[in-house]
Amino acid sequence: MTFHLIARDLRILFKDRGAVVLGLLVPVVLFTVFVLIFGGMSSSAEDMDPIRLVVVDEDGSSHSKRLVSLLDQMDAVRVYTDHSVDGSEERVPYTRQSARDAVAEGRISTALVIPEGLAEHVEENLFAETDSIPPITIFYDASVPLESQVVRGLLQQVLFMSLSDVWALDGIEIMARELNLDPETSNQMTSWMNEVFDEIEALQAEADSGEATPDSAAAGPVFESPIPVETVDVLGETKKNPVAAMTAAQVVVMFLLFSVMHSAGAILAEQEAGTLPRLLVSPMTDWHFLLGKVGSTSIFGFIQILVMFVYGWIVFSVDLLRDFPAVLLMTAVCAASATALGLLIASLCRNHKQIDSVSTLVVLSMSAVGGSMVPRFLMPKWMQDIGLVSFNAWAIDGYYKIFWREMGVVDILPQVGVLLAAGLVFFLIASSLFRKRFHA
Amino acid sequence: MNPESPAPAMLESVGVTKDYGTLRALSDVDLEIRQYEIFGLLGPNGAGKTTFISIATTFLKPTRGTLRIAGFDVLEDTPRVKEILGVVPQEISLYESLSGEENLAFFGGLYGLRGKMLRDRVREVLALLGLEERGRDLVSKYSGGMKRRINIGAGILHRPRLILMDEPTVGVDPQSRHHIFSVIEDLRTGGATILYTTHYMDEAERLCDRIAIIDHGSVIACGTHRELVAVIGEESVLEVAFKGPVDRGTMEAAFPEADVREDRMLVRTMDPAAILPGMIAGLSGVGVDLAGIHVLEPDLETVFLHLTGHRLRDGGAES
Repeated sequence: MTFHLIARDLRILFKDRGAVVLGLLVPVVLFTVFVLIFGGMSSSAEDMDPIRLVVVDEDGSSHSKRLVSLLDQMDAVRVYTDHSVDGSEERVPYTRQSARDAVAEGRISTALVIPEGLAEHVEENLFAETDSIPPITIFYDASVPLESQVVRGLLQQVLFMSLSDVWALDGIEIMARELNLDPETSNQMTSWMNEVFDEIEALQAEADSGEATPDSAAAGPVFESPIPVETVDVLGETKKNPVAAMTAAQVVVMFLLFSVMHSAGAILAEQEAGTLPRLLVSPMTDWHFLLGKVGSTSIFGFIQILVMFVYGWIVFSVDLLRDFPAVLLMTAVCAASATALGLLIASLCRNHKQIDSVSTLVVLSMSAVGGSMVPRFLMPKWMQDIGLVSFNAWAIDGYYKIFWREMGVVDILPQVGVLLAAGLVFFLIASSLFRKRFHA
Repeated sequence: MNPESPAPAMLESVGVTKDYGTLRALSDVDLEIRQYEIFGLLGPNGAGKTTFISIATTFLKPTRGTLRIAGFDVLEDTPRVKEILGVVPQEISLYESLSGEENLAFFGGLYGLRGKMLRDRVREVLALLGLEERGRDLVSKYSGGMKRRINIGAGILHRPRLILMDEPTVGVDPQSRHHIFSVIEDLRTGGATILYTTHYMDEAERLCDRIAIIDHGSVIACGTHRELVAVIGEESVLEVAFKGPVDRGTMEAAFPEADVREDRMLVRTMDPAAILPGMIAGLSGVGVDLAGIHVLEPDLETVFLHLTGHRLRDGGAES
């Protein structure tokens, strides 16, 4: 009897070839996507794109210029010292404030400021406490924490390995001059110092053996430079719970997709209940019907997201009310666009099995490449670019701007525009498929 | 209007044909349904009744031909046509998780009914359907017959000028069926025009002013019950069914007055009892195995059998 039942179930299953193909295809595609993402994350530094680093040289000394030059020579970073203003060709040097703003606005994740008088202070206070030396400042975006750690590590390397020897040798010169040392003593000291640095360099090379991964750079050199480095979390410092603000966007967007895909079966349910033909022969047009489905599903999705944000606001201090209109706009657009995508899937699929398979594939793939599971900045560049075709990437970017970068309605218009345009395209394709399917 | 002139046409179908690939579901259907009449479309399952209704409701497009509702072309004036129609589909098409009252209110709302008028119509229709007491119950709690009645109610709530009913009594118990007949007769009294499809001969006879007989996508006869029965006169039909195919030449030679088909033979006669003994003797002589002998009094079943060579319940092509 059991065998009889198994045979019947398999016969029914294999009659729906579409569902069978999708059922077999979905795990393979998802497996591929995850391998590409997580494989990309663990690749070597050589495979990673250089970090875009803004450097402000307030000191302007030969030492600071050399520091900038050495940073620029490193493969792991690409240094920017100036920028265009309002899209003009004229370029102006970054200042401490404009560098900080660039990080705050998300144009760049890390900026480094070499303070005025650094070289002078180092020369004058070589043997003094480091408190008297103005610190090098790193402005960073905590939503991309790895970059700031890598920059800090690279900076320490550059400072210690490339500048400390200069400053030490300069110190010997100053000492020889102030103490009236004879040239032979001075040369011996210089020679001895060079040997010390050779040994240190060997030790450093040993410590850095293997690949110069972001992690090893982030760990810093064996010896800390005597020059202090301060890090400033440009965005997170004002937030009560920065992790919640970032996580909210990632989770909410993925959940919205799952919720909407679930309701994609609503059209099919209407067909199965026999009510669809009845609706379509009433004065209701196809567009009325489809817009009605998008409307009801979007409204519920909208409410779901808002409930989640209100919960985040109450329990995790997510700053929901800072720019509530922006939250409402982004949420409404996300819900409508995601629903249109659900409608498209519903129009493509003939039964619930197909909808389940396709929606699982779409939601998990888009969530993976779009940054809901793993932040996109951790992915290889090419995968980040692919992520831009996903709903999640644009939605998450929009919410990041609101909750993380404290931007407003005007700033999220690019994300709103892309999501609306995508939603419109999904809707038009879905309505065309719907018409072909139900008005033969 | 001159009382002697026929009522204006509510539905005119000229050469309506529908193909699904190589399968012809409807073939050159010409029909005219006049205002205030109940017009029956009688045919076996798969004859093309639902396909014709689907074209009339604008749900399907004809491959060829024109169909007008109250003068409006179903393809050109679809929105106007939809406002005129009330549709009672063959399938139960209701929301099980809503009550009967809520279902009626929803479908009434689709036709622009609002507020007090909608509430009054819902009450009125529930009373007509005999479901006043159960209106607030979920449809999922209803019996099959009650669902059928609400299914009809959803199609008539907005008082359409033309009601298209596609086999509204399929699968219902005799009591509910009787109630549905009462509803349709009330609608007739109220001046409704109805296109009623069925494969039950008795329903067509009882309810319809005129009947079109459809088989394999073609209308093969059309008229009042009396006109259709007159096709075979007042004679009964003696149907002799065989257990297997017979040699038609032999049979036609032995029974020249009979209409011999592959597996049966039809003989029209005023007195079946008189000819039966001789016929049985003759059949033994040609050596055929009998499956049965039936005497059919003149009615639509007899007409259908006479015109098509098979019975209504024998079935046909998929619609």
